[in-house]
Amino acid sequence: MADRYMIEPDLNFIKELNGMGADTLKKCYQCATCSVACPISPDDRPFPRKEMIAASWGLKDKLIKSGDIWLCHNCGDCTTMCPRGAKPGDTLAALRTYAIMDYGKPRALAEAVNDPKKLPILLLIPAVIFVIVGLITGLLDFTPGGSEIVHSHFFSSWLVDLIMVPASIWTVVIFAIGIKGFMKDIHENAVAEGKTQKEKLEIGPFLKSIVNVIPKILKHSKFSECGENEERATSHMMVLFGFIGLFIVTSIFFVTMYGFGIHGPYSQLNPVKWLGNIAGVALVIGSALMIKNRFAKQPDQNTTYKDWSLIGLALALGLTGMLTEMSRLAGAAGLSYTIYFIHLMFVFALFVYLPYSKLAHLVYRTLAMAYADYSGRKF
Amino acid sequence: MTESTQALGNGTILVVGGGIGGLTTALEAAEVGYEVFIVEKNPYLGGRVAQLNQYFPKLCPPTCGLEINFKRIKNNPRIHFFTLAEVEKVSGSPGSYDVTVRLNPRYVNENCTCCDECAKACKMEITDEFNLGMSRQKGAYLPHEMSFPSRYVISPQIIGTEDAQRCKDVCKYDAVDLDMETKTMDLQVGAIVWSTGWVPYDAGRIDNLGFGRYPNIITNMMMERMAAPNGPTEGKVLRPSDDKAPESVAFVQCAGSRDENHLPYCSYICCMASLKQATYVRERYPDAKIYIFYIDLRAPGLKYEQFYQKIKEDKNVFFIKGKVAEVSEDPDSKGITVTAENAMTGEKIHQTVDMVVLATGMQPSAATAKLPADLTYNADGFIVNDFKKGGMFGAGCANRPADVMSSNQNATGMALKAIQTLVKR
Amino acid sequence: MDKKYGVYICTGCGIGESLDIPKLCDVPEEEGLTCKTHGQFCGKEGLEMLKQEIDGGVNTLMIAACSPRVNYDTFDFPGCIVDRVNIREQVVWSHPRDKFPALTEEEKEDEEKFDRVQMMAEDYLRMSMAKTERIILPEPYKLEEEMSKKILVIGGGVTGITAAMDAAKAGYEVTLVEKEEKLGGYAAKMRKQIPVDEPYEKPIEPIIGGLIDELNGLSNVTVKTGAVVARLAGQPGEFFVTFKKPGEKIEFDVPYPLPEEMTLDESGNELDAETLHQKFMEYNEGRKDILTIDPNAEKFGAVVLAAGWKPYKPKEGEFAHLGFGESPDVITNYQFEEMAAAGKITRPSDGKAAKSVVFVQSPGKEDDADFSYSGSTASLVALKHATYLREDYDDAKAYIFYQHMRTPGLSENFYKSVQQDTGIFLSKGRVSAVSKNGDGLTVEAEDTLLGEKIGVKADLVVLGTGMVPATKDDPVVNMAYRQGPGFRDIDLFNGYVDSNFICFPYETQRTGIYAAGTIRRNMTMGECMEDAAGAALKTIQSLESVNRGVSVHPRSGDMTFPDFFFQRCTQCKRCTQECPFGALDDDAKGTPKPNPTRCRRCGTCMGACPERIIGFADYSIDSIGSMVKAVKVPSEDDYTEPPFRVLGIVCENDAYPALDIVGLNKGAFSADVRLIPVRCLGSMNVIWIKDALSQGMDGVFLLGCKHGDDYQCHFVKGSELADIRVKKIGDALASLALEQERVAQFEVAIDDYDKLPKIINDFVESIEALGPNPFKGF
Repeated sequence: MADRYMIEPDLNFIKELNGMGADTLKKCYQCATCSVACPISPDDRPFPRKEMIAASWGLKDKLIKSGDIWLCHNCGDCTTMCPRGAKPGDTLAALRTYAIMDYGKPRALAEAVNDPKKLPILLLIPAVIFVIVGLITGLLDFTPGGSEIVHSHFFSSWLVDLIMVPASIWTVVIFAIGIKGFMKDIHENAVAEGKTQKEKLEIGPFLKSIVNVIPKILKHSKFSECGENEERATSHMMVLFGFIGLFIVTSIFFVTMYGFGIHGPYSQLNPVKWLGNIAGVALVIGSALMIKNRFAKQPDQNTTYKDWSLIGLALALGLTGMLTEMSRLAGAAGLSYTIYFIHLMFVFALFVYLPYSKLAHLVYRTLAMAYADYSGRKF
Repeated sequence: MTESTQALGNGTILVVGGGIGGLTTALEAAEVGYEVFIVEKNPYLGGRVAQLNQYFPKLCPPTCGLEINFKRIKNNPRIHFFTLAEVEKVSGSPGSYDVTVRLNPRYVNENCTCCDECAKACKMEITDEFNLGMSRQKGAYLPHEMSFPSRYVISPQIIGTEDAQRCKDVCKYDAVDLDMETKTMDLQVGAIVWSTGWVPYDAGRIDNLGFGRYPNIITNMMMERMAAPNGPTEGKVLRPSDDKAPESVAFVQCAGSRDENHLPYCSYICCMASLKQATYVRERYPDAKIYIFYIDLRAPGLKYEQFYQKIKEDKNVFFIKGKVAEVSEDPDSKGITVTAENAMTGEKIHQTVDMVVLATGMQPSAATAKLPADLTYNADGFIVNDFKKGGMFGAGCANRPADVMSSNQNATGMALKAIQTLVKR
Repeated sequence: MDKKYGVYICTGCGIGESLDIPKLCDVPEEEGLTCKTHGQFCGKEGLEMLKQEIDGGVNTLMIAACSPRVNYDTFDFPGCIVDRVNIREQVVWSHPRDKFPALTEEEKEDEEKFDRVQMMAEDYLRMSMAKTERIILPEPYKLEEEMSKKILVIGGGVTGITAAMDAAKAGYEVTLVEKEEKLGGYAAKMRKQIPVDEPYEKPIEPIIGGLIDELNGLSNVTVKTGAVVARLAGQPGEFFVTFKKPGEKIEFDVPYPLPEEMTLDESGNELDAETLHQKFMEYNEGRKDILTIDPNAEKFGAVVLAAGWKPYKPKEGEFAHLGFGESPDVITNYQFEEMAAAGKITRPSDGKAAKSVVFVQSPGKEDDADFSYSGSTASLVALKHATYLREDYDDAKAYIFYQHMRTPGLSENFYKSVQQDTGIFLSKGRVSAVSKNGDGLTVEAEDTLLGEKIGVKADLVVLGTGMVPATKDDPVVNMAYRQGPGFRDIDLFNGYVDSNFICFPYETQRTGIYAAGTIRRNMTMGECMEDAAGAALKTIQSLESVNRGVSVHPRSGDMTFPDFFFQRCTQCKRCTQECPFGALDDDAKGTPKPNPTRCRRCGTCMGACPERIIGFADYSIDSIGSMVKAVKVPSEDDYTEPPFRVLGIVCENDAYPALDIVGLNKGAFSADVRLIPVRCLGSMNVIWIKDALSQGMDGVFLLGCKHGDDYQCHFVKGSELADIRVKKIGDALASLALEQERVAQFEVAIDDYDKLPKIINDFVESIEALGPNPFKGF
């Protein structure tokens, strides 16, 4: 009996998954078409057939702790070919949401982030923080003078960073906690299900694997193997690179300001500015495309709050960012400041809520893919 | 010959479709004492089973069962049948229906002696539908050796050509009548049994299974014709691309069945048919390997279960639980690689074989072309019977997917339902 | 009728070109019979000619032309004996001149030369002349007394009730007998049932109540509950049925035949008829002999047997590895149904709510077979039972371990809808062990779809055992037949009442008794109701056939019936024993008592009879024997190198059509064979073989269908019996100093036409190798 896996189905888990968009998972009758239909599923212990039965049996631990649910890129080939209408793609997506919430501490916040009703409060929080901290520190000047519009006059860079830097640290810490559990779990699971020969998880080689997969991720090589909707690769790429671009720009800005005391706004001729603009545009177009694709895929693919909120946030970030700049160039001071304010709120949301939102896949999928590479899984 | 005595109720029964089910309904009713008309669209009776090589699980020839039914027809003056005939219109109500039947020309009359001279004289060749297009035949032909009625047919395709004239000129018995025309005929009947049977699901519509794309992927019905002594290969099982004896054959179960993208229901016969066809290959090729990919093997009933157990004893037959979802062809060898996940071991299998047989399912004929009568169908086109109303009934595979045994069972019952309609009035 | 003969030779279809017609005409003309020819008798002119002949008084026509399988309606002349001499398919077409050249003019002059094909045709004409002399037009058989058209339905379950209603609605008087006090059978003992019509999705409320009400509303149905059939004597049209209370002992309880060992004396020889009967009566102390008719018996015309099923009773320790018998919490699906019908699902051991239940569909030893007799219903039942559990408790968990989920056809819908319940868990898997675990159980399963060996904690384990046909160990019908009260050979069908799997549904080995429902095979209620209608039809059909004095399927409409010349009967009982349909009973002296309406006209009795006293109007030892004798056997007196003569006795159902196809395909076989079709090889009497050999024929072969477990014989045992008889005459041949190899039997299916020429030719060659029959010329 030792080697036996004692089954403990969790009915609520099944119901929760149903609620997260996997409302058809019980239709699965294990024909295994999905495992073959999936263009990126490995030959050994392929997914998502085994995930489908585990899900319909309510085997939470088996699933949440499995790295395989992250290898899935949700391209939907399995869902299209499923003879029973069980939509394995949606089930795996739901499982990832569940996992993100599971690893994202504190749980309460994780649930709030994935609950549409809580959205207004979540967006209000940064606003309140800004105003209060601004007033206390007096770094918030409601009457920015000067002929040209300089946002730092309105929102002192000090104020922004006073809030944003701790916010990013928070994010890093939360992720650190999540990742610790995550890595332990997926390794144990892989060992238990014979997906790897490696007894221990050695950091060194694993980091090498991360290095191996990064280019893959940037190239979207897995994405482009999807038969169902290759165009998703493009939009996803635009959004990803948009974020990366803006991240770089922000960093440069940060360094030059504190390092060399050079303040913005930069002139339009500045290459950093170019990068910023291109990245912003990419973000906007990319997320817009995603929305279009999502609508096109209905009803074959379930799109839930977790999807809409993320794409929405990306779009909002891009738009407010661009508008801030445009309104500034247009010389509409009041408008520009307002939009900038909103923009900052979204940036805050992005940072602080990142570990609980779908965007966390940025971290977990990367690690899962790295682990697959590390554990020698043909993937 | 039974001499006719009065039947219980008066009236006549029309059976639409002269396949095994239709023949059964007609004969069972006629042998009670009722007048029965059979309307069959083919030039011969026997329908789908006439194309089969053997029945499962007894591995006996369907023509044996057909022969005895034909003998019953010959000995029963109460049965009147029309071949090349189709029902055009039905009006009226239970107990009294007016039916319009279209009789398509055969261009050959009862003088035909099956001497084969017309076929010899005819130059033009047409595709042989009886062999599912796997072979060609003359424009004047006998559908198959055991055709009943045993009378030649001249294809409309050669009408108006010199070939047609040649056929007429060569016939010593004045059996060729090129002036035959489509006629319509009215029948007054009390009850109608729709025994319109099934068509094999069009495998070409299952994109991922490569039928029509790769020559060495065939359907189970094609396999039946291949194995039949009167088939396109005289009973040899050969792979189409190069007529080579297959060393390995894969059977793909549920090719279209149990699949909401195609036929949501289970077609009932495919599992047993593939087990049977495995024996076709094995008895011809002692070393051939058989791979059967399934979701569930459905052997409903003891005889069937025993047959399955027998096949399993064959060390050259392998069963894999997992549906084939991908096929590819090696352009040089023309071999086919099928891919499935073995759900028991959790490994993807890429099995390369000489030949693949798709176990395609059955679709009710009514699904593709609705019948000219006031009938209720389910979502898949099977006729839903209303016994309270009576009068018209769907039987055999027009009513639900079934094997020959349960079709006959169902067809016999429907004969009584039809009789009840007549007795009521 | 005094016969006026006419011989008509068709010269069409290549016959004229192939044969010397004038020479052929000499054959009948030498016998003083008129012989006419025509280029196409099936054509208008030809038919006109035949009609004139008939008007001219000819009433016995020999039409030498095509096979009787074609133009059957063309040459149908009521009131006349018509013998079709098949010289087209089986002479001319199957012996093309390029392979069997005709004689040239000078060869014709040569005494030593002969034309094999011509000889063949001439022999067939002689055979026909001999035959027609010895056959008469059949008259339908009518029962002496007024027949009963009342139908008896045995079994008051869903099938029986439906059958009764269906027969009644077709206008027949019906009596339904049910052993229990209440109607309904198992259908009335369920919580819910599997759906019977569209959309086949959810379990439905039992429909049996409605059926019973409808049945009670029918005026022409009589219901007898708390009664069983003690005996059923007589024959279709006049079955005499004695009813009794279950378990009651009465003098009209059916007697059982003597066990094999009691029929022999010390030295192992068969006892004589009288002693046997005496022993038989002792053995059946207190029961009347089968021939004694109960004066109070009720008369019926035909019977629907709908005795239904019994839950499978596992043998001691049979499923010990699954904890059955070890733990009270391991039960069968039937016990589960009983529990569910009574109330909530609980644990037998302590009556606590059973919220985790494992359904096991396969015994799970070495193979993946389901429990025996479970068919596809066990899968459906397990799904249904899972829904019971779920409706009893919101937090209940139902696990189903199947090897193959068997929901064929439209019942796939049922599977699809049930599996969607959150609390129902399905997996293929082999349950290897069930063990105690505290107050509950642990179920261990291997080879599941979950990838590893798993264990499940369960309150209750349910085994998907099968439905055993009631007839498996109980005759039920209790027929007062000499062959015994039950159905013979049903062990071939695992106890299901069947006689020819696939093609002859409903038919049993007892004419006038038709099986329906779960005694035929595993069925759902929907299937049972449909089956009931079919069985009712067959019953009605047999009544109307008796009424018309004709045979039922497979020789539907045949008016002939066996006629016995009792003066010469030696009471050997072979006919009684060998009849596949138990049509014959014998009296105290062992003299057979024919029951013509039980008979299916196969002629097995005729073949079995060593005294050759059994025959039919148009088919007898004499009619066939005379055909054998009519074959000319050339000897050295005729030619220095006389051709061989080989007789072929062929089954008319499969081998004969196949031979026609050989002709149609212009395939060729030896022209030295002479073929005689028989109704069934079972009717083959060895005297024909002996006659053939003693008149100098060199060999005899029989063509019959496949026998054994999957027999294809339309009359159950024909080819098998022939095989036994042929083996037996071996020594008889030896005594005549003839090699056994001169007689052989071959199994051919109707589609073996491509193999037939070789089979025949090989046999002829083997005979030629043996050399001519020494009796030639004597």
